[in-house]
Parts: sequence; structure tokens; C-alpha cells
Amino acid sequence: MEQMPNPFARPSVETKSPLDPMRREENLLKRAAKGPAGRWAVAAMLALSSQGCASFKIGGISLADREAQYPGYNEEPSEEDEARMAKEVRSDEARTTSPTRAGKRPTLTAGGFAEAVSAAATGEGRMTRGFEFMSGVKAGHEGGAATIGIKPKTEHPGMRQWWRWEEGVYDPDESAYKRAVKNEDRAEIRRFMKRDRQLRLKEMKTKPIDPKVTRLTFFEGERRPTALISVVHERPGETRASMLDRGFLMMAPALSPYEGVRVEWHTPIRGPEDSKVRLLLMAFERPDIPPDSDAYGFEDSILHDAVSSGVTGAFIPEAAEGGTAGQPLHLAIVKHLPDPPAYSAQPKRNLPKRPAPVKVLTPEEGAYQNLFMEIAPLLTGSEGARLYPMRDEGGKGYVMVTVIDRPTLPQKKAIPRQ
Amino acid sequence: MDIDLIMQNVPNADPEFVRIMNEAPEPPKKDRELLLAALPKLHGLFLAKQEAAKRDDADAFVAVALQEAALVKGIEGG
Repeated sequence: MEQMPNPFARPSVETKSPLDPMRREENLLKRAAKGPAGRWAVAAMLALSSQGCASFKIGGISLADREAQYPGYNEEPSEEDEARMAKEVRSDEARTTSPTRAGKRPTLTAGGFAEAVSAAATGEGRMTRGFEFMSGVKAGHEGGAATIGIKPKTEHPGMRQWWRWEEGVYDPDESAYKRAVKNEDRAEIRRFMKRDRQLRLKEMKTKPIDPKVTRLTFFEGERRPTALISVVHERPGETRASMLDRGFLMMAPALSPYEGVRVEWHTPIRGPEDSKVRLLLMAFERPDIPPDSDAYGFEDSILHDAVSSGVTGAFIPEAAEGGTAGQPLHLAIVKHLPDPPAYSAQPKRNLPKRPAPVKVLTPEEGAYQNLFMEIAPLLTGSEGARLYPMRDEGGKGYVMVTVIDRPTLPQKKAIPRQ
Repeated sequence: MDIDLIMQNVPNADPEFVRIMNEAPEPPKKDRELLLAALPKLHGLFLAKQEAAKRDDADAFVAVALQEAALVKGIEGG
């Protein structure tokens, strides 16, 4: 006789959410750990689970997807919220930028690339810190080209404290956060977001940063943006992929939640290191400036400083494919500058703006390098190109190539090359 | 944890493993050698967990967790 299901049976305790196997793991490990060595190992294991296995999907929900379960987190703040948060951010002791622009898609202004990188690196502005750049490196001309995948780290205020070093326990605040989410208590959610930001800033201050990573401060009108710059030298027999890995691992601890990284390959064209490739890593602070302003000067000032600091090589035009988290980002070298470009001493704001020439091309699959090569002969020593993959209303893809003139940065004293 | 230290103990380590462990605090001084010696096992278990996660296989994941618990007990036992 067929047995009827019991309508009063308790729900199955089998895993129904992606958290459950990890919770089981945590419970198992917590029971096993007694002393400091065990607790350290357990914390490491839990970190490896929550950060390294975020794609775990049970019942159709992955840890990475769980962001969707935190309503309000991704929501565009109201003007009122924005003003309040901007005030809070300004009152922070440490340098930071307003996260309120974070949810916006990258604009295709001249500064769009930096925003695209930042947005991609932060998972379309979800304020997740860090990312992974893993590379497949294509053979290319001159310095070659790097294909870099940006994958946002799957942390957010709800998941950030999934494990805790030293203790390896749940953060009790996490349940408070979940409660706030459940009750749709926006103010509480934002308090958590703020706390998260402050915690990260604190982490930034306390985490030892590799001395090879340099933080530079620039002047942009009344702004003082900063950037991290690091140069990785090729080791004998090393592949570019491992150079990238090494560079990012070095750079990652120094990043703030609001920074994205751009990678540039440099092949010195003179000097004793002719045969060596250098990788320049630059972390941008998200430009917190009006979208219609002349934003690209920020990138250029970083470049200028990098070049002045003795980094020989080229400014590298770049193409951000989509600017969406998880999408690859293509960078390519098209041109090497024999010397640091001459910059005008005249203040930027007083110069008339010259419209950037724009060229629209229909791309073939993976043909960015060819596009760059087409543009390259047209460039002067102080111009760079950007590619913006776009879609028209019918969804058909095309690439807009803009050539950017950048003769207007203040003169900075160049450091003579060795 | 220092990257070089991780790489020395786990040659050809998965970059994700290195990145995460790089954020970890230094192991307790008293048990440093013991924990460094356990890093390769930790790496192996991490790869197994990743594999289970990729396959969305909860049972395999928990099976790895049991091995982890055994490793922790081994570490505790010195």
C-alpha cells in the first residue's frame, strides 16, 4: 500500500540553502578546535570556504547570488540619503570617496574607463572590496596584450563576517543585519554599510602594505586623489600570467574598497633592462567628481607621475568590455613613448577644451588589437585612445574609439632616468 | 600571512588560496612550524572543497569538512 505523505511532518533538515553545508562545516570545525593552533586552522578553513567557494550553489542559489537577498543594499540611494552619506564620508578621518556613485553604471565620458574599472572591480558598485585578476595573455605586438578577468569578491556586509580570524565564529552582528534586512529597516542597513566601510578603512590602516606598493597623491583642482602604483619586474623564465598573479597579490592588501586596478605592460625601450618586461599596476580611487566634468585628467596625472618616476614605456589605451562585473577587461599596448610627454604648465581649467575626435568602428570578435593598431599611427606623443564597447538600440554591438588629447596637465618635475 | 611563506610551503599553490591566506594573520608563534607544515594539506582540502562547490555537491563538501575536522584534531594533538 502506498504510504501517504504526512502533512504534519517537520520540514526536511537536509541542505536547502548554500549556507547549510558551510554551516555544517563550521560546526564540525568549531567542535574540533580547542587551542590557538586549531582555531587558527579553523579560521583559515572557513575563510577559504566563504571566499573561495562562493560559487557553491544549492537549490539554485549561490553564495554569490545572495546579494539579491539583501534588499536595499544595491538600491540607488535617495538624494537625501546621498547627501547624508556624503556628509558621513567627509567626516571620516581617513581618505575615502563617496560610495553613493557606486550603483551607477559607468558613464561613457572621457573618464568612463576609470569608472568602468572601478565599477567592474567593485561588482557594479556593490561596495565589495577587491577582486581577482586572472590572466590569459595573448601574444601581441610590442609589449603584448593582457586579457584580464575581473571578478568581484563576494563579500558584502551580510557576508563579510561569515568567518572571523582568530575566533572562527559567526559575527553576532550578522544576524542583526539580517534582521534589519528582513524588517526593511533602511536606516539600520545603512548603519551596517557605514560600519563596514569604517572597518575596511581600519583594516587598510593596520594591514602592512608591501613597500613596493607606493601611494601617490595628486592635485586635481581642489581634489587630492590618490593612487597606488606598483611595478613588477619580470623574473627569469617567468610568464606574464605569473607576473600578473604576483603583482595583484602584492597589490591587493593595499586596496581600499573604492579602488580598482588597471594593468599596463611596459617594455623598456632603452637602458640596461631592454630585454625585460615590466608590469605597472595602478589602483585608482574612484573619481568622485561630477560625471560631466573633465575626469580623465586624473588618469593622466597618474600616468605622468608614473612616467616621471622612471617608468619607461607607453601610455596604454584600453578597452573596457562592458564594464560589468565578471566580464573580461581588455588592455593593450599600442604605442611606446620615447620620453615623458611634455605637459603644458598652464592650468587645465583655463584652457579651451578641444573636442576629442571620435571614430566608430564595427568590431570583429577579439579584434581590439587591430582597432588599436589602426588608431596608433594617428596618435601623437600626448594622446591615448580608449575603446568603449557599446550597443545600439537594436542590441547590435559596436565599438566607439576616442582619441584623447592630454596636453593640459601642470608641469611636474621629471625624475631623471638612471 | 606572508606570500613568500605560503609559496615556500605550498609550491604551485592555487592563486585564490594564496590570496585568501595572504589576508590571514600570522600563525601563533608557538605552533608556527606545525601550521606551516599543515599548509599543503589545507591547500589540498581547499581544492577539494572548490571542486565540490563547482559541482554544487553538498555531500562532497561536507565530506571534505570531515577531513578538515580530522586535520584540526591532528593539529591540536601536535
